[in-house]
Amino acid sequence: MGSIELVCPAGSPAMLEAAIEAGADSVYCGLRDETNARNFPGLNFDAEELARAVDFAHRRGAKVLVAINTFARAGGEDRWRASAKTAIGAGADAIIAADLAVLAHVRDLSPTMRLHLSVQAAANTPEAIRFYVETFGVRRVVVPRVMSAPEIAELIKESSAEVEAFVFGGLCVMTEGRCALSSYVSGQSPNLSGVCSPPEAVSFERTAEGMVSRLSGLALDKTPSGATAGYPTLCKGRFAADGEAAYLFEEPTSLNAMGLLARLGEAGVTAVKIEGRQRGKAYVARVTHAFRKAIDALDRGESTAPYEHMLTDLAEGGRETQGAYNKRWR
Amino acid sequence: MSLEITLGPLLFNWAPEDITGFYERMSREPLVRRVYLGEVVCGKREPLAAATLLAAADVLREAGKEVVWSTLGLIATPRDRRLLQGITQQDEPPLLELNDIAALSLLPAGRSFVAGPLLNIYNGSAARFLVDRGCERLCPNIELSLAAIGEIHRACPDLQIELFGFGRLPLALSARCHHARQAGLSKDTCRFVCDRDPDGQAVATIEGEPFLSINGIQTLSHGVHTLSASPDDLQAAGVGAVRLSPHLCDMSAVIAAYGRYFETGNRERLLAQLRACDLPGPLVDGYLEGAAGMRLAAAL
Amino acid sequence: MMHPAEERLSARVLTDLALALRPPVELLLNHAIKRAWRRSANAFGRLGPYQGRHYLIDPVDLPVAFALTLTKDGGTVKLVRRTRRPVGYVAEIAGDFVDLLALFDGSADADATFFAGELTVTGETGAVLALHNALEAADLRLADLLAPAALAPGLDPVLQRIVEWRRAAKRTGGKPHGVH
Repeated sequence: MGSIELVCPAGSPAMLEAAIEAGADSVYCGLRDETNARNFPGLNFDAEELARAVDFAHRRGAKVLVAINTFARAGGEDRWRASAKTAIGAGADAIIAADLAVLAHVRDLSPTMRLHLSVQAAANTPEAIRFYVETFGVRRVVVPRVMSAPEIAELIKESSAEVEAFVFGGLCVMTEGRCALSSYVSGQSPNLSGVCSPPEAVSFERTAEGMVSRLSGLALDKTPSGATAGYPTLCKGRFAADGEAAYLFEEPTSLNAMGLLARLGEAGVTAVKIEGRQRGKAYVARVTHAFRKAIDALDRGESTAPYEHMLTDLAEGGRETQGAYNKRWR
Repeated sequence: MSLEITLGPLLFNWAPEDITGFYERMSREPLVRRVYLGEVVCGKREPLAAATLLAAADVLREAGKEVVWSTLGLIATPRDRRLLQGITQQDEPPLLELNDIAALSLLPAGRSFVAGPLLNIYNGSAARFLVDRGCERLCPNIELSLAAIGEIHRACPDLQIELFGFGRLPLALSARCHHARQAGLSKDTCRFVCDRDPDGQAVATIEGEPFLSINGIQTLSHGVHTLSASPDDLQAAGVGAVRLSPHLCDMSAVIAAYGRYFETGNRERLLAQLRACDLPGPLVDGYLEGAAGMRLAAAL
Repeated sequence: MMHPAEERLSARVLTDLALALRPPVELLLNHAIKRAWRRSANAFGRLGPYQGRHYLIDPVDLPVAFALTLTKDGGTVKLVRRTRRPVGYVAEIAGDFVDLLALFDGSADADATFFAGELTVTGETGAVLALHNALEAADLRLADLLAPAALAPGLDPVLQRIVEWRRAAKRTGGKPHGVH
């Protein structure tokens, strides 16, 4: 492992293997139910697959982090507790959680299990981080994608937890874990069910002017035929305030902060995270490979510039941004 | 015992004279027992209304109302942090409503507090955790169904529950100010343009269907949320109070309508009386039943 | 770089091959499914409630389409005519043959391919997601789909070449002619 830990997504055992073979230091994954925030049909691991994956990873010197990062349903906490048990039993290296209940269940089951605070907990201040460190012994915090590089540096100075920052993939426009847009429209949301803009509510309608994407019948965007679109996530749609339709909340772009790796390293970031458990093996292999090269270059004292455009075509909607890492985004 | 009525914190950027006038009227509302004051949405706004709210608090307390101070939903900047440090670490602090977990770490141990709807408390264990830290009342997250609230009540029977029962629903917070962006500005250079939309700025889909509303860094629903359960069902689930979120419409008429509903349980009349109130959007009521929040309210 | 006449010939060869070899093509594909299943038995189970449902995989540049049905115990592929309006499919995925192959090959990013407008999906989005995720996990490869060598020697290199040429054309923005 280099100076910065490279944490990569795995939506399936095949994807996990691809990530590790491409040079990931750690991979993160979820179990096949609503206990994780990528609860898509056909995605994620069952208990057996997880145990085998941990074994595979450990033999190659890599770590497995299990995301149990949704908020346990009232009256149904058993399921989240069971997921924690499964992860602990499989030998996972850390559990990524956000809910006070889940953090408490993990601690109850294992005083020593490493806890990472999910971005879904939206802990963006030293006070918030201190709360989780003191209460549950959280060792690492995944910071919201909306923090700028200088803000992350400040945070690290004042906090005792390690910091993990997203550097590639789909951006959440709203504060993660604090958004109910999806449930307002479809009845399901990341917090309620581990999914945003659930596929069963998605429909596409081909019209003369192009393809209209809808969520529960509500029109989110219209793309001319042949043009690039993205999964119809609510906040990335086009809406009209004062008459003119625009990408009101965010352009459908992707985060690619490879150019900021050096600054993030200087700021004291322990790990960088690639988003995209649902993006498949090809995606994770390419992205991991590019970031592996970039981090290794950095550690040799070289520039990351040669690797920066390796991933442009993978961006959602074909466009990229450095997001909030550049403060002008606000 | 009938359900109590409270007034939630004003979410919008109103002019000081409008705030003063509003709370003067509310001080004369016999049905309102408790009023929440304070800036919840944006730390930049806090100094604008601070003095006005302090004066309003005096007026309300003199009229026999209980005042609770609501705090920021998203503590983001150093200024926000200093603000919260100031509020939470007073010698004799008033009762506070906390909306960001950072505030919990700042509040001295053992102090009572209200857990606001912007906290992520979705189950009994999380609620119990807060109760053990001094939480005396929970205003559940607006996503929660009545069934879920009932489960929380079963896990924490001594916890008071105050349900968000009227107003545009607070759906999301963002570090980015959408209001400013709409006006071609940014959060740092915003010129407080959010003051142009005292009920939030309406947002429609590309097919012209009104859908959301923008209020600074907050995104709210376009629809106005109301109750889809009977007063009896609410109380069976542990709800003791219902929160009405202030809007421009005649809030006295809204208060009267809810008061009557808690006595009679006549929901058709509640909906009719609310619809006569010049609301900023159609009545919606899906969340309490675990349905989409934007489901239009129909008489049961 | 292929001459346009050569492009058309290759596509037609492919089509004729498919039509003439219908039973062996189906056998070939069913064999591929079986091999993938044997390699990762859990994978098709990922379809969950969509097991046993029928998917229509529709290569718009061929006069035939494929009806795919998978369960945790295996699956079948049938060639079907495109002219008849299909019923009973939980979802339909349409696109150029090579894009569909690449999608199932796992060498393409599903999001990028689908949302670049190269594939059209109708029906239940959840069913398509489940299928993609199941095939992803099954680690299907192009070789699996096209070439148990015993059944169709010589087919694989032709198809490989067409796939490579098609991808190169896309990268440089050229669009080859479709042939029906």
